[in-house]
Amino acid sequence: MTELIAEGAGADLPPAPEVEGLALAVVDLAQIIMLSGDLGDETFANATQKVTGLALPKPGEIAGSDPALVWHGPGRWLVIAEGGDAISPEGIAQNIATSDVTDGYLVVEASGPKLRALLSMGTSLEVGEAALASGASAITRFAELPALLVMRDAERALILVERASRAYLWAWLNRAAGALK
Amino acid sequence: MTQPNRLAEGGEIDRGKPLSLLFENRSYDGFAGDTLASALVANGVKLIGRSFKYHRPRGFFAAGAEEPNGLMDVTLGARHEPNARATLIDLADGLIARGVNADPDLLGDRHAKLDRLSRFLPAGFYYKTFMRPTWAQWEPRIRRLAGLGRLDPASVLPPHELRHAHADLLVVGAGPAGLAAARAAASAGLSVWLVDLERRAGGQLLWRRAEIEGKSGPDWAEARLAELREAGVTVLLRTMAAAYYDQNRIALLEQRPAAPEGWPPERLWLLKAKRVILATGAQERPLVFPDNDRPGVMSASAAATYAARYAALPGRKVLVATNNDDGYESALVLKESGAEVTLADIRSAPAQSLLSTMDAADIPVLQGHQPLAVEGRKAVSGVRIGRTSASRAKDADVSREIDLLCVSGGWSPAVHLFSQSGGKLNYDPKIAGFRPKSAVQEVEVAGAANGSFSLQDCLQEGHGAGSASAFALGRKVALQVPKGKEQTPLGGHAIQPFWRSRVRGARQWVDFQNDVTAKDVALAAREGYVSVEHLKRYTTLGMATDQGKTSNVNGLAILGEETKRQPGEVGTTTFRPPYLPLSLAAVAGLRRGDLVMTRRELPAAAAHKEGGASFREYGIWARPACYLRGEETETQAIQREALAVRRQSGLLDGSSLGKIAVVGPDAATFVNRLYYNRLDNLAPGRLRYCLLLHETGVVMDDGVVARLSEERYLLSPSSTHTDHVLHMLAEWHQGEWPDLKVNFHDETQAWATFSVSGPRAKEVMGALKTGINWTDSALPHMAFAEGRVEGVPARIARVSFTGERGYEISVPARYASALWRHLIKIGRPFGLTPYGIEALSILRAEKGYILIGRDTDGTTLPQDLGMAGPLARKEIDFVGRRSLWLPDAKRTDRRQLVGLQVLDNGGPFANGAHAVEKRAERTLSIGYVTSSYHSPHLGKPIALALVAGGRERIAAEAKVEVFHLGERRPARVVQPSFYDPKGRRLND
Repeated sequence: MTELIAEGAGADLPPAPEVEGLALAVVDLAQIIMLSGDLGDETFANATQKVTGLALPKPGEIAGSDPALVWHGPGRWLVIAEGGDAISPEGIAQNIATSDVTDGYLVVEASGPKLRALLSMGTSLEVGEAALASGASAITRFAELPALLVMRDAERALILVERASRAYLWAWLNRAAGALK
Repeated sequence: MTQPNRLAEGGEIDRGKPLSLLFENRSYDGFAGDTLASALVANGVKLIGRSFKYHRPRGFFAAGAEEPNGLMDVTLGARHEPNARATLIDLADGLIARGVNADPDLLGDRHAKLDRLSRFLPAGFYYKTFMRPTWAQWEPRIRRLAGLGRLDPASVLPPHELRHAHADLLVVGAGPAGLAAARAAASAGLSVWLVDLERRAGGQLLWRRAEIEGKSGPDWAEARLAELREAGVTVLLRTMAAAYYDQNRIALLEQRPAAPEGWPPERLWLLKAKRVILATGAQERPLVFPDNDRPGVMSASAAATYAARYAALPGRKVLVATNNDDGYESALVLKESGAEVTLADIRSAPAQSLLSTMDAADIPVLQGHQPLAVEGRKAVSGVRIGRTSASRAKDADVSREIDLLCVSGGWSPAVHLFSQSGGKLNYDPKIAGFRPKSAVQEVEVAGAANGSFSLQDCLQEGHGAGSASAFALGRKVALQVPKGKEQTPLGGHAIQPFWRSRVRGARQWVDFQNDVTAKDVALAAREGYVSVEHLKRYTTLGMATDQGKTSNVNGLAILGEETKRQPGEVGTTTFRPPYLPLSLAAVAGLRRGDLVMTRRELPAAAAHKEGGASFREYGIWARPACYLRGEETETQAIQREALAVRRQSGLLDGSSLGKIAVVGPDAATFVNRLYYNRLDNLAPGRLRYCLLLHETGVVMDDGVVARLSEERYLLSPSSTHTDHVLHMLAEWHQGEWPDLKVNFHDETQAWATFSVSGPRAKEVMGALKTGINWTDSALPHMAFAEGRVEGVPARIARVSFTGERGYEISVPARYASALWRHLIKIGRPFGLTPYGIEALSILRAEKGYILIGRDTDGTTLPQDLGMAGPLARKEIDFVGRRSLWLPDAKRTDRRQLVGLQVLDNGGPFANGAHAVEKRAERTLSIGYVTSSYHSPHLGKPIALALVAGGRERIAAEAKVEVFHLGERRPARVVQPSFYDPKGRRLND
């Protein structure tokens, strides 16, 4: 059997720009699982808790860290795991619709004191610390692309965009970072 | 002295930092702190531009944003800016400028003679004259005559920074009202932004003689600004509030000299503020009298501004003509600056306090007088003055030799942003101008912008607006209103409207930038253009970059006089954004070059590039059009690839096809209601080709739907429709069927999908290591299985868009390039050829498989495509069903999908060519060619078309003519399938 070599979403992208106060890096998350259901459905909430060990976060919030359960729009969440398989989609109880979308995203970690300035160039959302605090998630357009922002802490965010737009986002980040030099 | 009009002392300029500039190829000196305009004024330059239509000599009229004449092409280093307002350009060493509308230069403009032909070129002349033979033939010549500035093709602006921001309050304007507003709001703890177009805060305090809280106007403004910065207010000077959009979102263009290297000195902000205070001040209008556009005729406040702020005295012998009290203050400032000043007041009885002040300052006042005639062509040299009631220039009773004629026709509140916000205006006779009446967004207007001209009113209103904003956001202001005092007792800013002189003969200018005269306005009224919006379009009054800043009120008031209406009845035109022009580069921000449009790339793009792929954009996706080998052309490659699929096997990257999982206990019910075809009876593991309709019954998308399990479907919308289909699912679920327990996940980009197709596809599959049983018995055509391929998770579907036996193999996107390369390698013995979208288009057209949006249009129903079966058989309601039963849907003469057999040797028809027939001596279109190719397999051209009554024509083996670019070619209407119509090859 021929071994098919996997390529992460960040394969072959140019190096990250060097800007004081801003670090950009592509992150290969071990797993991204989309799950959806009715927030008010107790069966669903319990099933999710059982599988992920986490309570469903409210809109705009995140539960846990690794794995984390990230609000991803009405009735929809992403389980993101950096270290290893968080959940087995096949083993999920009824009432939870799941899809393994690990390969569907480019994930960029942006960090540093200039993070908020970078975010303000890409999205019309309010990105001050009061409005987009550590532990918040936001569905928005970032750099003209549909994106999910996951605020890991005050100066560290994950930016998730569709994999097919990886080159666009990376080029955009490079150009935007130039304005922050 | 190289700057003859420079005063020995005073002003904001730094005499220790001399700068030089080049204007119209002549060298001049200036100082740091000058604007380009003030430097030219200081150098005694009167002629600074030519007018747009008549090429009349023009000089500066204003000192700020409202300047209508001082547009210049400015070059500084590598940066070139056409039509820059000289009044807003900070002087820099080495700056090069030239005036606009002149060829080759201002002094020797070869089109200056146009002015002598003016009687033949009134408003509307272009509309009436250049209709024949066509406008297109005249336009290039007229563009050369007009067109304002010239672009420098060598100067390309780099990408600009664009930022979004949020604030509790935005205050536009840092004059007394704006500063008072920001001060009050900031004291209550609001997050406040304060922006001003000028380099310094203070507004009219910078030239007027005022005192606030014991300080001079400029000192008070500086102190407040420092205090605001200290309090955390974001202060942006040299920043234009360019546009006011819905939801209190305002575009701000910031000039910032300290931009990072390689970045332009301007940055665009899109600020969303909970509340906005507009303290944008007011703009002084011209008086309308004969030859009032001559260089040296200047707004009185502008002349005072040049003198007070820049120590540049625009003239030594000055007549100030006014119809209001404020002209007196300008006269005083000019007098104090050393000018010899006479004042002519159109009013016969100005307030005694004014006369006493003038008397004390030794400024003679001519009461009840107006300018009747101006002498001098490229610079004012004299003026004849007569009674306000005079109607002939020869009725002048006073003549003066002057070099500056200052005019004050009253003040127009700068309501442009308020108007852009959707606010309504009201005419106020007390100020002879329009002021804000009612707002539709969270915005207040304070100070002169609100028609309140006294200093204390400005401070009071600004403070009040700031306090009101704080209150609205749950805060309170403890501060008191600042106390201001106007040093000159100048009455109450009283005004007597004077819309135009009654003097006959010479032209009187209303709109300097667009070259519109009072006669033009009268002509428009006579010709029936009595709506102010029609007047604007007929005469161009208030259009373009000027947006009527100095001309609007005079123009509409004259229209009112002509139509016997008050200005309030005439109303104003709509002020449009931007407030002043800004570069498209600033609007584009980072979206330049590769970033102009987002583009999706396939997960195996790298492998395609290795294989010689020639990429094109198909919708938002960049996909291989074909794979070039050696020296072959794209056309040759496409034909080769299509033939390879028919004869051996081909490999296509179909990863961009949508993959939407529909999951839940009600998934079957949901998709059954949504799709045209029945889907609840689809067995798990099977596929069905389906149409998706709009409510109108028109075909919106097509694709294969797979049922993976009882409660899970996988939809495959076409590549460019996936996002739309996803929205459609959400819309119908949320809006119509919220009770259904169903969820949708877009999995499109998590998977890569490759299609192996052709008579040898089976052999290629045989070389693939997989545990999935893909034999015909286990995986017949239109079936689906999951498992592993070459050790990785995979799905295999038996489906074809070529008409040949086909297998679609899907793996997680990370394995895309690896699997593509592997398939190419193992498929080589079986002639496996990578093919692109263009070959696929030929293959599917040979079969008669449609492309939505190409072989369908906004009227195409399923029946028009020969797919009436589901409508007859499906018993439940579904999206679009009712529309399909309407009488129009049943017409037999609807445009229906047909094939066209080419009957001559002319090659393929042109796509879009019309099928025509003669009816009653007229040639009519009966449809058009949707897809046309040369089929390499059939060795002849093929075409699909939408033709009226298509099926009846097929049955009758009808002939039609295909018309394109004057040529008619014969064709026979045939079935829309040229290859294997019975579908036997799918299982061969």
